[in-house]
Amino acid sequence: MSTRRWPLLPLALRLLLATIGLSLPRSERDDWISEWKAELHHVLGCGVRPGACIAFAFGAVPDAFWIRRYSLRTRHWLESPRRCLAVLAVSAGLNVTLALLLPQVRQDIFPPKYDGPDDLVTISPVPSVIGSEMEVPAAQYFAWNSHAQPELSQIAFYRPTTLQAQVGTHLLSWSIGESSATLAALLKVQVSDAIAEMCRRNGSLPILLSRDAWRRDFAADPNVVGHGLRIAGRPAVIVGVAPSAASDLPLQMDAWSLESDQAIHKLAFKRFAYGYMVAQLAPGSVRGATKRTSQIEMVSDFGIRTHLHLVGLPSLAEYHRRIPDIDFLLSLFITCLMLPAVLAIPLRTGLKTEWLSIRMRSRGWIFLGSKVLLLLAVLYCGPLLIAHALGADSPDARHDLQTIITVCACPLAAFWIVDDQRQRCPCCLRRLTNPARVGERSRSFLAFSGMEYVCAEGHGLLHVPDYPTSWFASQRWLPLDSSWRILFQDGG
Amino acid sequence: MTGMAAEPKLSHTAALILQAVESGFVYGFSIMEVTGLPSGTVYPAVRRLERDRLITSRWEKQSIADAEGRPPRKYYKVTAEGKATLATARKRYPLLARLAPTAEVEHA
Repeated sequence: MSTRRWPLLPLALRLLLATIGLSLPRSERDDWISEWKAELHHVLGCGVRPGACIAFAFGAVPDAFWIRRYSLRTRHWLESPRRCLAVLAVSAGLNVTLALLLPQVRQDIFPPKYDGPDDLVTISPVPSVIGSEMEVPAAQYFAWNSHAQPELSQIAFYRPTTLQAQVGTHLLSWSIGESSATLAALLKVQVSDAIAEMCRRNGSLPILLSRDAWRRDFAADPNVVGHGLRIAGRPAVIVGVAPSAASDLPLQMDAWSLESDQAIHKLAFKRFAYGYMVAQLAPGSVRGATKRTSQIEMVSDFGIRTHLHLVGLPSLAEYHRRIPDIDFLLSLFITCLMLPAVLAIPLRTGLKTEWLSIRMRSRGWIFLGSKVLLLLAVLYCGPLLIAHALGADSPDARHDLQTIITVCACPLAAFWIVDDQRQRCPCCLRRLTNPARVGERSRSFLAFSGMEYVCAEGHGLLHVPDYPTSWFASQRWLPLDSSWRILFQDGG
Repeated sequence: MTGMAAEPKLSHTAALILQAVESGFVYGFSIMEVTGLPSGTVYPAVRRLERDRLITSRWEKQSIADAEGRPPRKYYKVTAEGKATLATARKRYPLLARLAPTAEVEHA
């Protein structure tokens, strides 16, 4: 079989060679490509099998690697400070643009403002906004709900549980809040009389669907109300979709089953039946609890007075919206705590830079600051994009994944920033080249164990200790005067 | 102890390629054909030999290449230093001498 049957093969192989050639220093590229193209021309003309031609062309890869490795003109791909900043700026720009263009990611970065009722509050025994700490026993809820509370007009309770939901032929694992029937009224969801009557007649469980589950499992079907499903084998009917504000209630639920008073009452006799209390402030209540936490005295049906804490749903929503930012700042804080390990050898403090002009010194710090800012943009948007790409469908799962990636990536980024800055010439900010381990005599007599770098522009030599000693604790920069320039004129 | 430059010790592959160039196989693909080595081995080895100054390279004249309707090739030639090294390598690898001489003609 000759290459005639593969008319595009010569073109593809030439393209391959040209692509591989891009990895070479510019000064050696043209020569290298010309030689390989001439050889390829000969190979193709010999009527060699296409497979052999392809194998021949791929031999250019180790050849290019060899040249790259041993060429004096090969440079680190981020050697120039401008190129380094350009690469970082493009990465940051791509991340930010993608994050802003994708609606779901944009919503995670800029969550919509709370648009639910202002008079809703959660009631908890401790002044906390963390879900698991806000739980109250079902028996307590009954005791307080049986007695009129002057400052609250309605109280609802729900107990989170995980049940299997059968939607059509699909089996789904849902987080379901077994809730009192008053929850629908609190969330301003109108349950039609016909649907309520149907539930009563068939003994079906009324289900209030969360907005996320409605979008995810029912493709935002506008006619979902009245849809039948099975929850843990029980027949159930969807009576409504909760407003988006319901997602700010403690723990994210996929749905709430609106249980009868008897069913909730049975919960009161179960051990470990804990759940969350939501209430509506009585009209005219002036405590302003919707904006912040405050205390309330509740009286049980036995006349026992208990001080509880109210957290307004708007302030809970505000807290939920701030969690990703708080976690990102926490990741940065953890990274800062790890910095002493990364900065065992001081970054620049060891360098005597008085001989440098203020402009040159400030250039180094501006370069460092720019790298930090650009990497922060990458570290904020990148993990969120990865979490979405990995298909984490719930906001909590996305947020957890984002946090894990950020916590892992931040120290690596910090290490890179410091390591890169350390290996740059203070004068021209180019990466220093030709790392050489110091000789035995320096190690024995000067107690200096480390690396020596040279600036390719001839500005000086940098001595970086491997570990700080009393004699050699920091980097030392040895500036070279103009008499050395002759050695470096050809090196660039 | 003057002028005692250490002679580079060649691997069998490098010696085989040097022998091929000495025998008149003067460009990459012909070296591949005669030695049976893949391109990914031959070309880096040729670069190494050139770096060690055992061979030199030069481009074919453009007019010759144009006359034959093909791109100009890069030809390799063994240096005096290369010949001395090859002589040493032949003692170490006696079978090298069996490589057929002057199979290719260089278009100067």
